[in-house]
Amino acid sequence: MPQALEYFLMSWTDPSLLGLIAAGTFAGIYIGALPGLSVTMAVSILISFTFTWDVNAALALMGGVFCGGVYGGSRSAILLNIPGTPAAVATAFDGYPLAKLGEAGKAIGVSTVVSVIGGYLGILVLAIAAPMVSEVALMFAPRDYLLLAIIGLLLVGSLSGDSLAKGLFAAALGVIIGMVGLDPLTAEGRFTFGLVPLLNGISYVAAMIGFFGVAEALFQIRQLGTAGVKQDVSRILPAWRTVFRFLPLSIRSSVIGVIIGALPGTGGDIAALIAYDQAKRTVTNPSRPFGQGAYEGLVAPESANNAAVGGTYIPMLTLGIPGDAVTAIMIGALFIHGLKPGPLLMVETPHLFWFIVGGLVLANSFLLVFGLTGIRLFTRVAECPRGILIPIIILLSIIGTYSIQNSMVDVYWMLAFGILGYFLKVYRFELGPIILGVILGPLMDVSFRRAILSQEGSTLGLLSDLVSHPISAALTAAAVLLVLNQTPLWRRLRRPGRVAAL
Amino acid sequence: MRRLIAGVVAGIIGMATLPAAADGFPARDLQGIIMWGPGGTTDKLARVLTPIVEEKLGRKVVLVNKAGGSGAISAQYVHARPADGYTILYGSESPQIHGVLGLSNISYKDFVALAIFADTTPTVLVRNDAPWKSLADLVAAMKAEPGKIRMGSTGPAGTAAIVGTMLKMSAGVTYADVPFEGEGPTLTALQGGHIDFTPVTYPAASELIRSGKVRVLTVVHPTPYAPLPDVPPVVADYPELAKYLPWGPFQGVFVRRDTPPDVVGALTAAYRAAAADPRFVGFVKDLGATHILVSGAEADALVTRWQSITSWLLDAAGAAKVSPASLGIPRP
Amino acid sequence: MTNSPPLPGERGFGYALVAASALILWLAFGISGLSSASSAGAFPMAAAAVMLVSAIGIVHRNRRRPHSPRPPTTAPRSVRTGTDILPREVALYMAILIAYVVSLEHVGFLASTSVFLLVSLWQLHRRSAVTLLAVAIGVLLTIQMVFGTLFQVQLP
Repeated sequence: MPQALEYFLMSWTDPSLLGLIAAGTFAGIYIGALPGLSVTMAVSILISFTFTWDVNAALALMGGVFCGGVYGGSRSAILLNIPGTPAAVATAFDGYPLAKLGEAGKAIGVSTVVSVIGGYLGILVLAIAAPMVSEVALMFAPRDYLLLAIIGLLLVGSLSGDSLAKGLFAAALGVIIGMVGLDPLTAEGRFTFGLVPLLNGISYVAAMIGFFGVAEALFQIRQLGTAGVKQDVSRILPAWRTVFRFLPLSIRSSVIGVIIGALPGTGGDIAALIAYDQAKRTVTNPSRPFGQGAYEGLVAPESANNAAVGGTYIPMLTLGIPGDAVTAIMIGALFIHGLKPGPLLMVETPHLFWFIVGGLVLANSFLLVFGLTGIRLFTRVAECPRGILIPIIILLSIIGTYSIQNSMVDVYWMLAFGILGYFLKVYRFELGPIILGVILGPLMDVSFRRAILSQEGSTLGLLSDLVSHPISAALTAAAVLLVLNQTPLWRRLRRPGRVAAL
Repeated sequence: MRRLIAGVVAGIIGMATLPAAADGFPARDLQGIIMWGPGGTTDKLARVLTPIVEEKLGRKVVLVNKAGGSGAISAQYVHARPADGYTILYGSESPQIHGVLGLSNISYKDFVALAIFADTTPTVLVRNDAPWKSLADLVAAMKAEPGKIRMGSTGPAGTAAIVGTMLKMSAGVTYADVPFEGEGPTLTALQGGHIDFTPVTYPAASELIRSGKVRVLTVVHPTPYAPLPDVPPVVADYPELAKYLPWGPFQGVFVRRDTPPDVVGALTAAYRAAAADPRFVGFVKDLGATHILVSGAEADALVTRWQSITSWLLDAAGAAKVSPASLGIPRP
Repeated sequence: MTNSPPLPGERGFGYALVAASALILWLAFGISGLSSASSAGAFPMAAAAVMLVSAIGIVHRNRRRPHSPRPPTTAPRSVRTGTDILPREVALYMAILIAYVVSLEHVGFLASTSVFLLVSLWQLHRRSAVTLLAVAIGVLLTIQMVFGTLFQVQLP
């Protein structure tokens, strides 16, 4: 154990490692905040950049960028309604309304603090329970991923605003967008019309930037005359009281985040969506109604996506299996530096584990510092005159979309989605469910078919599996409960109970 | 800094004009398209090779994973890019059978190999707590319950499907084919017990085998395989497979065949030098693959032999949707 | 809100959604027909069917709402005061946007982006030429630095 402590503190006492983590975290925040620049991209660039470095230095820098980037996505989600990263989609649901109310400063303050809380909790789980969690993660069968996707999609019910039909339509449209391209299992073309540019499908980041960023920018042209929202910057640091109030929700969301992050097939984006759903269902008296600037709607996804960072390291360090796209690249980095990521990594190079844990704790501490400074400057963005802000948002959206995979096809899609999104907004459709469909649809499709194929194509066999395995049974029960809970019958049953409880 | 700005400016000009002459190639950064997802053999090799190539070329090769469609997505994508040598395919063998599987008519005849640098050997794996101690045990189980045993595969043209076909043909078994996006996810599913066995290449599984979490039932190799001396080769049970062996996925880098020859020359020089670099050779060995180094016509011979064996194998098994004869693929 | 009269063009939009959903369902059917639950086309068909059913639901709801010549009071101010759903400046800006994206590929990044920035700033902001120019150059330089140089994105 003293040796573990020594490794843990390695990055704390070495000035150059300390500096690298600080620099990585700082850069990560801005990479995350810019739509289209992703942590995945930054970390893959860093691989060749750090090729000749010592492995510890490379991992320190990458860890910092990872933590900073996941957090940074919330900045643009709150200020501009463009999630900087897919993991920040849910953050925009309540974060942007807060900026419209002039509370962007406080929103960023709160999201910083809960991000760091989530980050620490994720690392704590990584440090004390990594082998156990990875065992559980391996037990998730294709059918369980299917159930997770279903649970995530049930969020449509709470995101649909006043019309469930419109919400369902939007979600199904999102699913269809996610289906375009060659089917990953059989390589059959779907909605490709034999056109090569369509074979690779539509990047979900392009859909996200179009439906959120460009649609919102176009919509704002209608309100050109009105000035930018004056932001209240008097109370940026959240009071201890506020933090304690949100702490239980933050912890619950972090637990969701770390588990979903640890699953090899899912990452921070799905974690944040499910945590948001959870918050919406369990918080009985939010600071404002959800979707109109509830701080609870900010706390849940931001805790969850940062907790997911710790989670994604779990399968990577214990089994050599990537928890998401970023850790997949880090595994490559370990290989390049002569290490052997696999089940024996922790046995043969135990110092690596504690070094990474120590580095992540440090990165999250830097996150608190960098996140809480300079907020005043950031909130100016929301105060910017619309006439200047709109062209910049559009330009960033276009370049950001292009840079996902250097593809103009993505830009055309993004633009089409922006224009379609504008009309949908005018006719009072919620756009959140579309992104939900784009993110979860492909996971649901592939998991469903894989689950059926494991049962020799028998749907009946799949159904019996859903109740006979412990994890599946628990997830099935959760899904059924969530559906019931949205029906009028349930509400009627529940109402007298609640009155009695009061 | 000045070099960077010059590079950016040159890049902008380069994009605006048609593929320029090769002197000064590469004038901007390149893009490397990896055929499979992160964590697989192709991905690991690409990420180790590329920094060395970048040293030789003096330019970045920005790597992007484009997994899916049994590798057809990446091949189609690179083929649809301009033939200017700026988009490089880091691929494995599967485009060679897209034709007979009716997936795509693009194969390595449409590309020129800058270097083929690794050859791999498939192994058949089960979990360490599985009841089957040998290939014969597994075959017996598949015969006892036809279609019940689940095999993890990487799609209809992946290594797993081909090895599965060899077993189908020689042992007359059937199984449930559960496809995944790559060897990494397949191995994850095997460890979780969501599939019963999977044929994967040795490099993808070497760490798992070393840790004892999985058991190797056989190696698809004509003789005992050096890194796994105690494992019986598949020909011990099914000698008729010998005519196809050695057979295994290869790894290489490709550009479109109609790329200007001087560009191909410059790229081939850089990739060959990198692939012969001791750092890379050592890595290929560590990974458990066999290091080879062929380019151009020599590489064409290798990929054609592979295509002929595999296509006719699939045809004999009834798995080919398009007859190899109609595609002009000669019999092995 | 559901009982408020429909916005201008809302019924037509509903019918367009039904038509689009039906088309997508037909395309989805074409992928692999009704072969099996694990086929490539099964899930797209299910999603398209959900689209179609909900689009019909939306149309049905629209038809039941009272038709009134006066726009609803709950709509955004611009919708209430203008009868149109697509104000002139939004339509114009959409056109500018499409022209910009198309020209990106043909004219190159720097030239088309400078023109786009100047035109859209002038269109939306209407300040002195010096301010516009300063903002445009500042934005362009920053983007070139961050994306082009730092992240090696090969801008079109």
